[in-house]
Amino acid sequence: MTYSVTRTKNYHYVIGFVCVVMLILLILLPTFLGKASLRLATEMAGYMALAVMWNLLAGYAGVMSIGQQTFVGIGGYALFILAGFSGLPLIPSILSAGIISALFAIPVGFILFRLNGAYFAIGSWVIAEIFLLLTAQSVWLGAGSGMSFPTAVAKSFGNSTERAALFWWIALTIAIVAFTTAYFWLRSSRGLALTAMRDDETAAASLGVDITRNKFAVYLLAAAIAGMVGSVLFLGKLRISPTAAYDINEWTASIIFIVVIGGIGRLEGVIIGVFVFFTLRYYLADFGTYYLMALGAIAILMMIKLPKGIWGIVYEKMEIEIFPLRRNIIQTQKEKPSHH
Amino acid sequence: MLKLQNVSFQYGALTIPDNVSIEVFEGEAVGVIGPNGAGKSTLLDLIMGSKTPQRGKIFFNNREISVFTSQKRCAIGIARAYQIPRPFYGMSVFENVLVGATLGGRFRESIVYEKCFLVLEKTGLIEKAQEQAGSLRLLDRKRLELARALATSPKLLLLDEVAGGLTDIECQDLISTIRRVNELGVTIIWIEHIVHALLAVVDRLCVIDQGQKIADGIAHNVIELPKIKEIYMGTPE
Ligand SMILES: Nc1ncnc2c1ncn2[C@@H]1O[C@H](COP(=O)(O)OP(=O)(O)OP(=O)(O)O)[C@@H](O)[C@H]1O
Ligand SMILES: [Mg+2]
Repeated sequence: MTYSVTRTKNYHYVIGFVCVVMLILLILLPTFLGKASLRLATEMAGYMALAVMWNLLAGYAGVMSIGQQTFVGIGGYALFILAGFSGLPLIPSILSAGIISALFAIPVGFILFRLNGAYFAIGSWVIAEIFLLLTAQSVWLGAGSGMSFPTAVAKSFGNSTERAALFWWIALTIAIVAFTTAYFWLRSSRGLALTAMRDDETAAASLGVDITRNKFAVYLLAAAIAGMVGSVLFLGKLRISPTAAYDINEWTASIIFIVVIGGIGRLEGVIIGVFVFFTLRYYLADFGTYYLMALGAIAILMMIKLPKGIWGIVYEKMEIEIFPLRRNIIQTQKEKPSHH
Repeated sequence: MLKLQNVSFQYGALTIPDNVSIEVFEGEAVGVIGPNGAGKSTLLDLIMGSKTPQRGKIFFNNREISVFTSQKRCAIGIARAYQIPRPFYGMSVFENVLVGATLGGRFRESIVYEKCFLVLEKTGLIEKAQEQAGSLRLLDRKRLELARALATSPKLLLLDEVAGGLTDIECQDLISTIRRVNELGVTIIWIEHIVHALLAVVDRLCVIDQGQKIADGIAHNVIELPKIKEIYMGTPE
């Protein structure tokens, strides 16, 4: 008997084809949608990227960060400084925003990774608050009232319709980069390490998984993506202020909701989660505070009743993976050699 | 090869193990016995690095490893099968073993596939290679513990009660597997309550009681010591 390993099943070719078609439709979205809908789609793409990263962090690497708004905020401010006031072209500015966020994540992570469990979570939040306070004290960043993106520079990106399309494409690209990076990461042997950490950190360590290094690597990637998301979303708003930039509700609580609903520790989950979240927001936003309470209640109910999330259930019942990560073993019966 | 020097670990007010020294030589198979709660598993925690001793030192091949991470200890050739299995629930049995082979052995994934299949065959898990580890029964989980540890190609293998619950035939299989591993040059420390299984493999026996090492020597001599008989009196083994 011999065995070999494959990653894909036949239905994945169909899924691959569907993905390509969807991608084309998404790229062409500005031809079907108006400005307002396009802005919503842009926001969704940004949230998707953040959720994919938070899922990697908390769902796989066991990094319980509730301070990812730190890097969203840094990215937003970096973009306003670079593209708005320093004359750097847009795309390099967005990339730099990602890099700057990741650079900040190095010392921040260095401090946080000394803390465990709940202390890490609280520490990550405290650090976000520190950045908020520091930014609010910085006159060159507009202090507490923040800054507006210079109109002249904004106009150089086109009229408001063209800008909406441009920002959509940028956000779409970031979401796709986040998703495919996460996917290929999880498929690789580093992903094997992350998945092992997800299930049992102690056992993973004793089988050779470098826990700290893997956590840090995911943390840096997540910071870079958060920085880029922050840059494009605040560019869309043309305004940034400390409370909006480092907002825990907006950039972490909603993201946790998305990941929990969709299925923590499952790549596919975030796609479902994003749609559920935006649907709920659409229908419930008019109820003001009750909307937030409803979201909280749903998340808590979900954690108690369906801790594996929507996709976790689907996966368990049907063993379907839209994005194949499993290693399937194929058994090939060899011709028995004749006896001599 | 492995040297514990006056090692102690504190569980609050409880010191277990308390000032224990053991030296294990290359190629040896050492059995560890002792009553429940004696501190046997804690000893393995200290060797594997999931706990660090408050006092004492641990050496591996003359290098002090007392504060090494588990990952580093795995990289220098120590592997462990846990008493209470800790499978990676959401991964297949094959992938569980692959973690040890590729990350522990530090090889590219595709190179070690063959080896994983071999280990799975050797531990009787090949039929279940595709199953989710979380769906395995206790017996198979224990097999998986052994399989994963073996997949890292260890120089020192730490086994914690891997024979409990096996039928006689399965136990014989396990004994011959472990013996073969030992014959290939892997040093073994094996904690086991099923003494006859232990005696079929090990040449040396250590007895731990209340955190203390109370006997250490040639297996058949140790088992005949009056104080050991006393501890084991009334137990069917
Ligand atoms: N997390 C813990 N906190 C406090 N005490 C603990 C903890 N873990 C173990 N102990 C205590 O330490 C002692 C040694 O435990 P250990 O698991 O090493 O024993 P053992 O010899 O392996 O026993 P067994 O044969 O039952 O596996 C026990 O008395 C146990 O109650
Ligand atoms: Mg034990």
